[in-house]
Amino acid sequence: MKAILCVDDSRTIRKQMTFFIKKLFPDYNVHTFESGEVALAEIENISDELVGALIDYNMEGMTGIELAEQIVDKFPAGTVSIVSANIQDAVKAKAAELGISFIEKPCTLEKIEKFLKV
Amino acid sequence: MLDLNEDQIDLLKEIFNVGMGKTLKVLAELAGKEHEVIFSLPKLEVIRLADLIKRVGGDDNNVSIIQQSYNGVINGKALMLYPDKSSLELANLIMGTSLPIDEISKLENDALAEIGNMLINASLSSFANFVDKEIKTDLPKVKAGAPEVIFPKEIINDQIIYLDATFTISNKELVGHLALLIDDDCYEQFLKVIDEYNAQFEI
Repeated sequence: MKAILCVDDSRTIRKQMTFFIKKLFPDYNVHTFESGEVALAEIENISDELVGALIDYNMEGMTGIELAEQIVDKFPAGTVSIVSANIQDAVKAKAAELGISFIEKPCTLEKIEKFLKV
Repeated sequence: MLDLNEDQIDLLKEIFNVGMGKTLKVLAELAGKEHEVIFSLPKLEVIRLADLIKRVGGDDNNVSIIQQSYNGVINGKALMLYPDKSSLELANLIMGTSLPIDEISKLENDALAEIGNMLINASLSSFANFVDKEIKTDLPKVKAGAPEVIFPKEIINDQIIYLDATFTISNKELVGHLALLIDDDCYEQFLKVIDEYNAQFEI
């Protein structure tokens, strides 16, 4: 089954992302993790086909960029994005350097749809 | 009595996070492209205003505050508190000046007032946008000195929603404390709009 990875330290955001993705793609699984470290440890155990990732930037431990650096190759090109309230140009530039997208919080159904349906 | 559950606290942290992110983008632009503003993850607590003043004020309890009343879906006061001696160097950096430390005290107050004003408005706007309601703010008032002089007696023991708003630019730290006072008769409405927001994502 196809699946999306969501990594965010906020339970509210993990629920929100899951709700949006299930609304857009009812047949997809959503794998949510509360930190980069946990996501990194668990990603190898995911048997679904990973077709996208939405990753928070500011989290305890590794940042979203640090996580993305390590997992971006597991995803199709253009399907990984940082999703953050930290909207400084310096942070957006880090995402661009890595060749991944940047979605500004607050997250909405429209923003997620625009990214995942491209 | 304002009693928040984990889901309510989690949402409020996210709301403040968005407000803080917008503020820091502006600060980063003021400080220049070579500087990234680093901010710690928001810590949110419900405590008494008096207890926050003790934490912020140090030995003499003196603080500087930016205060703005707000009204709309909920009513109350938002405060940004700084220790009496904040980072002069950071004010220098943000205001784009290179004055000697002893000459920028006035400038520092202006800078701190501006940062406080931005953060309060961004946070309240973020709250209003999340819950899809309107909140209006009055003009900011800047005060400094002993708590008994700058805070009305009737609010000193009130509960506040407190957010640690500390951030760093180029290894210079600015310690700020955001406090949200909500009028007693708005508690119920406040909790209602938060719960309604969270409920829409239950599957």
